Amino acid sequence: MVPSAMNAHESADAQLAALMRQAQVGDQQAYATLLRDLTRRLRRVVAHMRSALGTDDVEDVVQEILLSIHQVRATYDPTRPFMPWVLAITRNRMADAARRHVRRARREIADSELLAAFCDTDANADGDDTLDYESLRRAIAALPSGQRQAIELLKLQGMSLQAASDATGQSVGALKVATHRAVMSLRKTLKGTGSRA
Amino acid sequence: MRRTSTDELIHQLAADAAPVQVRRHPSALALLWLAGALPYVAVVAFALAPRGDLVAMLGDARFVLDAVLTLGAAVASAVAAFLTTVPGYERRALARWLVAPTIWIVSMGAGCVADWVVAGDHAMPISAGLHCFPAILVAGAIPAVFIAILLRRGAPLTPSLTLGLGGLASAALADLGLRFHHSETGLALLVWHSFAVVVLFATAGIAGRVVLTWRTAR
Repeated sequence: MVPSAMNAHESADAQLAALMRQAQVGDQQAYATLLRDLTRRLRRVVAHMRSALGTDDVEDVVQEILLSIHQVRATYDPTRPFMPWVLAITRNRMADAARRHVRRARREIADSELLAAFCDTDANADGDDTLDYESLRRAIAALPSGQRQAIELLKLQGMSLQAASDATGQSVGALKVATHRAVMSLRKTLKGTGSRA
Repeated sequence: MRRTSTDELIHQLAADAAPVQVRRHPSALALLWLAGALPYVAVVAFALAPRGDLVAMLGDARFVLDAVLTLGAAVASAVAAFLTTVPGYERRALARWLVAPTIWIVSMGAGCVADWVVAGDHAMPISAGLHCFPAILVAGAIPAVFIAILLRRGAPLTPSLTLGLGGLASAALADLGLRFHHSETGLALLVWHSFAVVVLFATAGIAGRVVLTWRTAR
Protein backbone atom coordinates (compact mmCIF):
# COMPACT_ATOMS: atom_id res chain seq x y z
CA MET A 1 0.00 0.00 0.00
CA VAL A 2 1.34 3.42 -0.91
CA PRO A 3 2.15 5.37 2.27
CA SER A 4 0.17 8.37 1.12
CA ALA A 5 -2.93 6.18 0.98
CA MET A 6 -2.60 5.15 4.61
CA ASN A 7 -4.40 7.21 7.18
CA ALA A 8 -2.39 8.56 10.12
CA HIS A 9 -3.58 5.77 12.40
CA GLU A 10 -2.46 2.98 10.12
CA SER A 11 0.84 4.76 9.50
CA ALA A 12 1.51 5.09 13.21
CA ASP A 13 0.55 1.45 13.77
CA ALA A 14 2.91 0.32 11.03
CA GLN A 15 5.80 2.35 12.46
CA LEU A 16 5.24 1.06 15.99
CA ALA A 17 4.82 -2.51 14.73
CA ALA A 18 8.14 -2.25 12.90
CA LEU A 19 9.87 -1.02 16.06
CA MET A 20 8.30 -3.84 18.07
CA ARG A 21 9.51 -6.45 15.56
CA GLN A 22 13.01 -5.07 15.89
CA ALA A 23 12.70 -5.08 19.68
CA GLN A 24 11.61 -8.73 19.64
CA VAL A 25 14.88 -9.70 17.95
CA GLY A 26 16.86 -7.79 20.59
CA ASP A 27 17.35 -4.29 19.08
CA GLN A 28 17.64 -2.24 22.28
CA GLN A 29 17.70 1.12 20.52
CA ALA A 30 14.48 0.36 18.63
CA TYR A 31 12.89 -0.84 21.85
CA ALA A 32 13.84 2.36 23.71
CA THR A 33 12.42 4.44 20.84
CA LEU A 34 9.24 2.40 20.91
CA LEU A 35 8.82 2.76 24.68
CA ARG A 36 9.40 6.51 24.57
CA ASP A 37 6.81 6.92 21.83
CA LEU A 38 4.35 4.73 23.72
CA THR A 39 4.95 6.69 26.93
CA ARG A 40 3.80 9.93 25.27
CA ARG A 41 0.67 8.26 23.96
CA LEU A 42 -0.06 6.38 27.19
CA ARG A 43 0.20 9.55 29.31
CA ARG A 44 -2.49 11.16 27.17
CA VAL A 45 -4.70 8.07 27.27
CA VAL A 46 -4.40 7.50 31.00
CA ALA A 47 -4.80 11.16 31.90
CA HIS A 48 -7.82 11.47 29.65
CA MET A 49 -9.58 8.38 30.87
CA ARG A 50 -8.72 8.75 34.55
CA SER A 51 -9.06 12.48 35.13
CA ALA A 52 -9.37 11.90 38.89
CA LEU A 53 -5.76 10.74 39.09
CA GLY A 54 -3.02 13.14 40.09
CA THR A 55 0.10 13.55 37.93
CA ASP A 56 2.07 11.06 40.02
CA ASP A 57 -0.72 8.49 39.84
CA VAL A 58 -0.90 8.85 36.05
CA GLU A 59 2.84 8.28 35.83
CA ASP A 60 2.59 5.21 38.09
CA VAL A 61 -0.05 3.70 35.80
CA VAL A 62 2.01 4.49 32.70
CA GLN A 63 5.03 2.76 34.25
CA GLU A 64 2.93 -0.29 35.13
CA ILE A 65 1.75 -0.49 31.52
CA LEU A 66 5.32 -0.28 30.23
CA LEU A 67 6.38 -3.06 32.62
CA SER A 68 3.47 -5.21 31.46
CA ILE A 69 4.34 -4.62 27.80
CA HIS A 70 7.90 -5.67 28.60
CA GLN A 71 6.70 -8.80 30.42
CA VAL A 72 4.54 -10.09 27.56
CA ARG A 73 6.31 -8.70 24.49
CA ALA A 74 6.65 -12.26 23.18
CA THR A 75 2.87 -12.45 22.81
CA TYR A 76 2.80 -9.79 20.06
CA ASP A 77 2.27 -11.46 16.69
CA PRO A 78 4.32 -9.45 14.16
CA THR A 79 1.79 -10.24 11.42
CA ARG A 80 -1.01 -8.45 13.26
CA PRO A 81 -1.71 -4.77 14.04
CA PHE A 82 0.18 -3.38 17.00
CA MET A 83 -2.22 -0.87 18.55
CA PRO A 84 -4.97 -3.37 19.49
CA TRP A 85 -2.32 -5.39 21.32
CA VAL A 86 -1.06 -2.36 23.25
CA LEU A 87 -4.55 -1.06 23.99
CA ALA A 88 -5.66 -4.42 25.38
CA ILE A 89 -2.78 -4.33 27.87
CA THR A 90 -3.48 -0.66 28.63
CA ARG A 91 -7.16 -1.27 29.37
CA ASN A 92 -6.35 -4.21 31.60
CA ARG A 93 -3.75 -2.34 33.66
CA MET A 94 -5.93 0.76 33.94
CA ALA A 95 -8.79 -1.38 35.25
CA ASP A 96 -6.43 -2.83 37.87
CA ALA A 97 -5.26 0.67 38.81
CA ALA A 98 -8.84 1.90 39.09
CA ARG A 99 -9.72 -0.96 41.45
CA ARG A 100 -6.70 -0.19 43.63
CA HIS A 101 -7.55 3.52 43.60
CA VAL A 102 -11.10 2.84 44.83
CA ARG A 103 -9.87 0.51 47.60
CA ARG A 104 -7.26 3.03 48.72
CA ALA A 105 -9.73 5.93 48.67
CA ARG A 106 -12.17 4.00 50.86
CA ARG A 107 -9.42 3.24 53.40
CA GLU A 108 -8.17 6.83 53.38
CA ILE A 109 -11.63 8.29 53.99
CA ALA A 110 -12.12 6.01 56.97
CA ASP A 111 -8.67 6.80 58.35
CA SER A 112 -9.04 10.54 57.85
CA GLU A 113 -12.28 10.54 59.80
CA LEU A 114 -10.65 8.47 62.49
CA LEU A 115 -7.73 10.83 62.92
CA ALA A 116 -10.04 13.83 62.86
CA ALA A 117 -11.87 12.25 65.76
CA PHE A 118 -8.53 11.75 67.54
CA CYS A 119 -7.66 15.40 67.25
CA ASP A 120 -11.04 17.15 67.47
CA THR A 121 -11.27 18.68 70.96
CA ASP A 122 -15.01 19.40 70.62
CA ALA A 123 -15.75 15.78 69.91
CA ASN A 124 -13.91 14.87 73.07
CA ALA A 125 -15.80 17.24 75.35
CA ASP A 126 -18.08 14.41 76.47
CA GLY A 127 -17.23 13.48 80.04
CA ASP A 128 -17.35 9.78 79.26
CA ASP A 129 -14.50 10.11 76.83
CA THR A 130 -11.16 8.97 78.02
CA LEU A 131 -9.08 10.37 75.16
CA ASP A 132 -5.68 10.99 76.62
CA TYR A 133 -3.92 13.66 74.57
CA GLU A 134 -0.64 12.83 76.20
CA SER A 135 -1.00 9.21 75.01
CA LEU A 136 -1.73 10.46 71.50
CA ARG A 137 1.30 12.77 71.57
CA ARG A 138 3.52 9.94 72.78
CA ALA A 139 2.09 7.54 70.20
CA ILE A 140 2.78 9.99 67.36
CA ALA A 141 6.29 10.63 68.70
CA ALA A 142 6.91 6.86 68.74
CA LEU A 143 6.06 6.44 65.06
CA PRO A 144 8.86 5.82 62.55
CA SER A 145 10.13 9.13 61.22
CA GLY A 146 8.50 8.84 57.80
CA GLN A 147 5.08 8.07 59.25
CA ARG A 148 5.40 10.74 61.93
CA GLN A 149 6.31 13.35 59.33
CA ALA A 150 3.33 12.36 57.15
CA ILE A 151 0.91 12.65 60.08
CA GLU A 152 2.32 15.97 61.24
CA LEU A 153 2.27 17.60 57.81
CA LEU A 154 -0.96 16.21 56.41
CA LYS A 155 -3.19 15.79 59.43
CA LEU A 156 -1.92 18.13 62.08
CA GLN A 157 -0.71 20.99 59.92
CA GLY A 158 -3.36 20.35 57.25
CA MET A 159 -1.01 20.53 54.24
CA SER A 160 -2.18 19.22 50.87
CA LEU A 161 -0.54 16.08 49.51
CA GLN A 162 1.25 18.04 46.80
CA ALA A 163 2.56 20.64 49.23
CA ALA A 164 3.79 17.93 51.60
CA SER A 165 5.40 16.11 48.67
CA ASP A 166 7.22 19.30 47.62
CA ALA A 167 8.34 19.93 51.19
CA THR A 168 9.65 16.43 51.89
CA GLY A 169 10.72 15.19 48.46
CA GLN A 170 8.58 12.09 48.91
CA SER A 171 6.06 11.11 46.26
CA VAL A 172 2.35 11.60 46.82
CA GLY A 173 1.91 7.83 46.73
CA ALA A 174 4.58 7.30 49.39
CA LEU A 175 2.95 9.94 51.62
CA LYS A 176 -0.43 8.27 51.31
CA VAL A 177 1.05 4.90 52.26
CA ALA A 178 2.93 6.44 55.20
CA THR A 179 -0.23 8.15 56.45
CA HIS A 180 -2.27 4.98 56.23
CA ARG A 181 0.36 2.99 58.12
CA ALA A 182 0.68 5.70 60.73
CA VAL A 183 -3.04 5.73 61.43
CA MET A 184 -3.10 1.93 61.70
CA SER A 185 -0.19 2.05 64.17
CA LEU A 186 -1.83 4.79 66.21
CA ARG A 187 -5.07 2.91 66.37
CA LYS A 188 -3.28 -0.21 67.60
CA THR A 189 -1.17 1.70 70.14
CA LEU A 190 -4.03 3.73 71.59
CA LYS A 191 -6.32 0.72 71.78
CA GLY A 192 -3.62 -1.03 73.81
CA THR A 193 -3.31 1.85 76.28
CA GLY A 194 -7.06 2.03 76.83
CA SER A 195 -7.43 5.46 75.29
CA ARG A 196 -10.48 5.99 73.13
CA ALA A 197 -9.80 5.07 69.55
CA MET B 1 12.34 6.35 48.96
CA ARG B 2 13.35 7.64 45.52
CA ARG B 3 10.90 6.78 42.80
CA THR B 4 12.16 5.50 39.49
CA SER B 5 11.49 8.04 36.77
CA THR B 6 9.88 6.81 33.58
CA ASP B 7 13.01 7.65 31.60
CA GLU B 8 15.09 5.53 33.97
CA LEU B 9 12.56 2.71 33.65
CA ILE B 10 12.71 2.85 29.85
CA HIS B 11 16.50 2.73 30.04
CA GLN B 12 16.34 -0.34 32.32
CA LEU B 13 13.79 -2.12 30.14
CA ALA B 14 15.73 -1.44 26.95
CA ALA B 15 18.91 -2.76 28.57
CA ASP B 16 16.96 -5.86 29.58
CA ALA B 17 15.55 -6.39 26.08
CA ALA B 18 16.98 -9.76 25.14
CA PRO B 19 15.61 -11.36 21.97
CA VAL B 20 12.35 -13.19 22.59
CA GLN B 21 10.79 -16.10 20.77
CA VAL B 22 7.41 -15.00 19.51
CA ARG B 23 4.79 -17.09 21.24
CA ARG B 24 3.25 -19.84 19.16
CA HIS B 25 -0.36 -19.67 18.00
CA PRO B 26 -2.87 -20.84 20.66
CA SER B 27 -3.73 -23.93 18.56
CA ALA B 28 -0.07 -24.94 18.42
CA LEU B 29 0.29 -24.40 22.18
CA ALA B 30 -2.78 -26.54 22.81
CA LEU B 31 -1.31 -29.38 20.75
CA LEU B 32 1.97 -29.00 22.63
CA TRP B 33 0.07 -29.33 25.88
CA LEU B 34 -1.81 -32.37 24.56
CA ALA B 35 1.43 -34.02 23.48
CA GLY B 36 2.69 -33.77 27.05
CA ALA B 37 -0.53 -34.43 28.95
CA LEU B 38 -2.07 -37.30 26.95
CA PRO B 39 0.71 -39.83 27.66
CA TYR B 40 0.36 -39.13 31.38
CA VAL B 41 -3.41 -39.70 31.29
CA ALA B 42 -2.86 -42.90 29.29
CA VAL B 43 -0.43 -44.12 31.96
CA VAL B 44 -2.95 -43.40 34.71
CA ALA B 45 -5.71 -45.23 32.83
CA PHE B 46 -3.38 -48.18 32.23
CA ALA B 47 -2.31 -48.22 35.88
CA LEU B 48 -5.96 -48.36 36.91
CA ALA B 49 -6.33 -51.29 34.51
CA PRO B 50 -8.01 -50.92 31.13
CA ARG B 51 -11.60 -52.08 30.85
CA GLY B 52 -12.01 -55.72 29.92
CA ASP B 53 -14.24 -55.01 26.89
CA LEU B 54 -11.99 -52.30 25.44
CA VAL B 55 -11.47 -53.95 22.07
CA ALA B 56 -15.19 -54.48 21.65
CA MET B 57 -15.95 -50.89 22.71
CA LEU B 58 -13.58 -49.50 20.11
CA GLY B 59 -15.99 -50.92 17.56
CA ASP B 60 -18.96 -49.22 19.26
CA ALA B 61 -19.85 -46.06 17.40
CA ARG B 62 -21.41 -44.41 20.44
CA PHE B 63 -18.31 -45.02 22.56
CA VAL B 64 -15.99 -43.71 19.86
CA LEU B 65 -18.16 -40.65 19.28
CA ASP B 66 -18.21 -39.84 23.01
CA ALA B 67 -14.43 -40.23 23.16
CA VAL B 68 -13.91 -37.96 20.15
CA LEU B 69 -16.26 -35.35 21.63
CA THR B 70 -14.42 -35.46 24.94
CA LEU B 71 -11.02 -35.14 23.26
CA GLY B 72 -12.37 -32.28 21.16
CA ALA B 73 -13.63 -30.53 24.28
CA ALA B 74 -10.22 -30.90 25.92
CA VAL B 75 -8.35 -29.45 22.95
CA ALA B 76 -10.86 -26.66 22.36
CA SER B 77 -10.78 -25.63 26.04
CA ALA B 78 -6.99 -25.54 25.88
CA VAL B 79 -7.02 -23.38 22.75
CA ALA B 80 -9.53 -21.03 24.39
CA ALA B 81 -7.32 -20.80 27.49
CA PHE B 82 -4.24 -19.88 25.43
CA LEU B 83 -6.27 -17.44 23.37
CA THR B 84 -7.22 -15.46 26.48
CA THR B 85 -3.52 -14.78 27.14
CA VAL B 86 -3.03 -12.93 23.84
CA PRO B 87 -3.71 -9.19 24.25
CA GLY B 88 -6.25 -8.03 21.68
CA TYR B 89 -7.66 -11.51 21.00
CA GLU B 90 -11.04 -11.55 19.27
CA ARG B 91 -13.94 -12.48 21.50
CA ARG B 92 -15.73 -14.12 18.57
CA ALA B 93 -12.81 -16.48 18.14
CA LEU B 94 -13.02 -17.35 21.84
CA ALA B 95 -16.75 -18.02 21.54
CA ARG B 96 -16.13 -20.41 18.62
CA TRP B 97 -13.62 -22.41 20.64
CA LEU B 98 -16.08 -22.70 23.54
CA VAL B 99 -18.70 -24.50 21.43
CA ALA B 100 -17.16 -27.98 21.77
CA PRO B 101 -16.66 -27.80 25.57
CA THR B 102 -20.20 -26.50 25.96
CA ILE B 103 -21.62 -29.41 23.93
CA TRP B 104 -19.56 -31.84 26.00
CA ILE B 105 -20.76 -30.41 29.33
CA VAL B 106 -24.37 -30.36 28.16
CA SER B 107 -24.11 -33.94 26.92
CA MET B 108 -22.75 -35.04 30.31
CA GLY B 109 -25.68 -33.41 32.03
CA ALA B 110 -28.13 -34.87 29.52
CA GLY B 111 -26.56 -38.29 30.05
CA CYS B 112 -27.11 -38.00 33.79
CA VAL B 113 -30.77 -37.10 33.31
CA ALA B 114 -31.35 -39.81 30.70
CA ASP B 115 -29.78 -42.51 32.87
CA TRP B 116 -31.79 -41.35 35.85
CA VAL B 117 -35.00 -41.53 33.87
CA VAL B 118 -34.22 -44.94 32.41
CA ALA B 119 -32.85 -46.59 35.54
CA GLY B 120 -35.29 -45.06 38.00
CA ASP B 121 -35.47 -47.13 41.19
CA HIS B 122 -33.01 -49.66 39.77
CA ALA B 123 -30.23 -47.13 39.43
CA MET B 124 -26.90 -47.80 41.09
CA PRO B 125 -26.60 -45.74 44.29
CA ILE B 126 -24.68 -42.51 43.72
CA SER B 127 -22.07 -43.54 46.30
CA ALA B 128 -21.13 -46.51 44.12
CA GLY B 129 -19.34 -44.14 41.75
CA LEU B 130 -17.37 -42.33 44.46
CA HIS B 131 -14.08 -43.93 43.39
CA CYS B 132 -14.25 -41.97 40.12
CA PHE B 133 -13.86 -38.65 41.86
CA PRO B 134 -10.27 -39.00 43.12
CA ALA B 135 -9.33 -40.91 39.96
CA ILE B 136 -10.31 -37.96 37.76
CA LEU B 137 -8.52 -35.52 40.07
CA VAL B 138 -5.33 -37.60 39.93
CA ALA B 139 -5.58 -37.99 36.15
CA GLY B 140 -6.27 -34.27 35.70
CA ALA B 141 -3.78 -32.80 38.18
CA ILE B 142 -0.58 -33.10 36.14
CA PRO B 143 -2.18 -31.85 32.89
CA ALA B 144 -3.55 -28.91 34.92
CA VAL B 145 -0.11 -28.07 36.30
CA PHE B 146 1.45 -28.40 32.83
CA ILE B 147 -1.08 -26.09 31.21
CA ALA B 148 -0.65 -23.57 34.03
CA ILE B 149 3.11 -23.49 33.35
CA LEU B 150 2.46 -22.83 29.66
CA LEU B 151 -0.21 -20.21 30.38
CA ARG B 152 2.10 -18.24 32.68
CA ARG B 153 4.13 -17.19 29.65
CA GLY B 154 1.14 -15.35 28.24
CA ALA B 155 -0.56 -12.15 29.39
CA PRO B 156 -2.63 -12.55 32.59
CA LEU B 157 -5.54 -10.49 31.26
CA THR B 158 -8.29 -12.66 32.79
CA PRO B 159 -6.49 -15.01 35.20
CA SER B 160 -9.56 -16.80 36.58
CA LEU B 161 -11.11 -17.45 33.17
CA THR B 162 -7.76 -18.45 31.68
CA LEU B 163 -6.80 -20.99 34.30
CA GLY B 164 -10.42 -22.12 34.67
CA LEU B 165 -10.42 -23.07 30.97
CA GLY B 166 -7.09 -24.80 31.54
CA GLY B 167 -8.69 -26.77 34.37
CA LEU B 168 -11.62 -27.66 32.12
CA ALA B 169 -9.26 -28.93 29.43
CA SER B 170 -7.46 -31.08 32.00
CA ALA B 171 -10.73 -32.41 33.39
CA ALA B 172 -11.95 -33.38 29.92
CA LEU B 173 -8.68 -35.17 29.20
CA ALA B 174 -8.90 -37.03 32.53
CA ASP B 175 -12.49 -37.99 31.77
CA LEU B 176 -11.36 -39.35 28.40
CA GLY B 177 -8.68 -41.45 30.05
CA LEU B 178 -11.07 -42.94 32.56
CA ARG B 179 -13.47 -43.98 29.83
CA PHE B 180 -10.84 -46.54 28.88
CA HIS B 181 -10.85 -47.82 32.46
CA HIS B 182 -14.50 -48.06 33.51
CA SER B 183 -16.44 -50.96 32.08
CA GLU B 184 -19.57 -50.03 33.98
CA THR B 185 -21.62 -47.01 33.09
CA GLY B 186 -24.55 -45.27 34.62
CA LEU B 187 -25.78 -42.35 36.59
CA ALA B 188 -23.45 -42.87 39.56
CA LEU B 189 -20.32 -42.62 37.43
CA LEU B 190 -21.64 -39.71 35.41
CA VAL B 191 -22.47 -37.76 38.56
CA TRP B 192 -19.01 -38.18 40.04
CA HIS B 193 -17.29 -37.53 36.72
CA SER B 194 -19.31 -34.33 36.33
CA PHE B 195 -18.60 -33.28 39.91
CA ALA B 196 -14.87 -33.82 39.45
CA VAL B 197 -14.95 -31.70 36.29
CA VAL B 198 -16.68 -28.90 38.17
CA VAL B 199 -14.19 -29.10 41.04
CA LEU B 200 -11.18 -29.00 38.71
CA PHE B 201 -12.65 -26.07 36.75
CA ALA B 202 -13.55 -24.07 39.88
CA THR B 203 -10.27 -24.77 41.70
CA ALA B 204 -8.23 -23.75 38.68
CA GLY B 205 -10.32 -20.61 38.27
CA ILE B 206 -9.72 -19.59 41.87
CA ALA B 207 -6.02 -20.41 41.64
CA GLY B 208 -5.76 -18.27 38.50
CA ARG B 209 -5.59 -15.05 40.52
CA VAL B 210 -2.54 -16.34 42.37
CA VAL B 211 -0.78 -18.25 39.60
CA LEU B 212 -1.28 -15.82 36.70
CA THR B 213 -0.23 -12.31 37.69
CA TRP B 214 1.45 -9.27 36.20
CA ARG B 215 4.99 -8.87 37.46
CA THR B 216 5.69 -5.50 39.02
CA ALA B 217 9.20 -5.91 40.47
CA ARG B 218 11.77 -3.73 38.73
